[in-house]
Amino acid sequence: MKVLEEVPHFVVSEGSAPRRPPLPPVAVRTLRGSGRWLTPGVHVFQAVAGRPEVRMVVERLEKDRYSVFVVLDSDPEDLLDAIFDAERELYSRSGGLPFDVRVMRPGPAWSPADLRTDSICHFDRADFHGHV
Amino acid sequence: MGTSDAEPYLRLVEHDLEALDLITAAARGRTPTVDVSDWQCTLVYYMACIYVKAVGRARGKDLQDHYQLKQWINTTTDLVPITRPYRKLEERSRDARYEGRRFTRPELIETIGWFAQVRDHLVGVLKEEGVEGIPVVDPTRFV
Repeated sequence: MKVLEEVPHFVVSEGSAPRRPPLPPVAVRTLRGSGRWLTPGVHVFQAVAGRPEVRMVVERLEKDRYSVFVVLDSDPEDLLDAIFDAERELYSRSGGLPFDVRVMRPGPAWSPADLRTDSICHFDRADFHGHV
Repeated sequence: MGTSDAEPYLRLVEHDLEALDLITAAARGRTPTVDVSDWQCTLVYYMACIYVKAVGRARGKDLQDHYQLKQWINTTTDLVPITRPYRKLEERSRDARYEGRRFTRPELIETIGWFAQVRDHLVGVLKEEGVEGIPVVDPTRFV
């Protein structure tokens, strides 16, 4: 695939600890056929953009993989299909890059602060509506 | 590894169904009854997971963790049809275990429907691989 642009790697700071070597971003081909570098979280976010059930989409670089969290109020089947189709596309085009997509409907004890820390936020509905 | 290596996993699927039977009966026997829908969904997911492990064994592939398994089903042409229902089961199981989510009767029926899609497809795949004695476990009686 021809690479047209590249976004910077994630670099996670851990105080005085040495920085981990960054994982490469994922190469995906857009529907229009142009090549772009995207992280898994960006790709999944694009699949759910505009859906009112989506509360947050955040991404973390863990020790050995990207972790994408999609937080939902409800999980209608067509939304889940869109997320898992996007995930399958990532598997087929990422060249073995390790990642995990977590689609969660949190319980009452869950706090969004857990995900707002040390994560890259692709979407947080609270930013738009002033509530969580 | 080969078709005979799949056999222990198929017995494990049956064992998981038996465990599902036991916790369901125990929960219903309590007064008031106990909602164990979280562990019902989790066991249903693990039955699907073990069916996939059995297919892997039959094809000489040892799937060591969930990441390997997901990558395999998402990139193996004849397993792609199960990716949607399999992942729905997995995320429901994660909600149950990590978020304490319980499920309504319609959600349990939906969960078992996803499991049936995975089971039916993989039983067909296992037959094509020449595996014999494949259980077609049916958890519908638990809802």
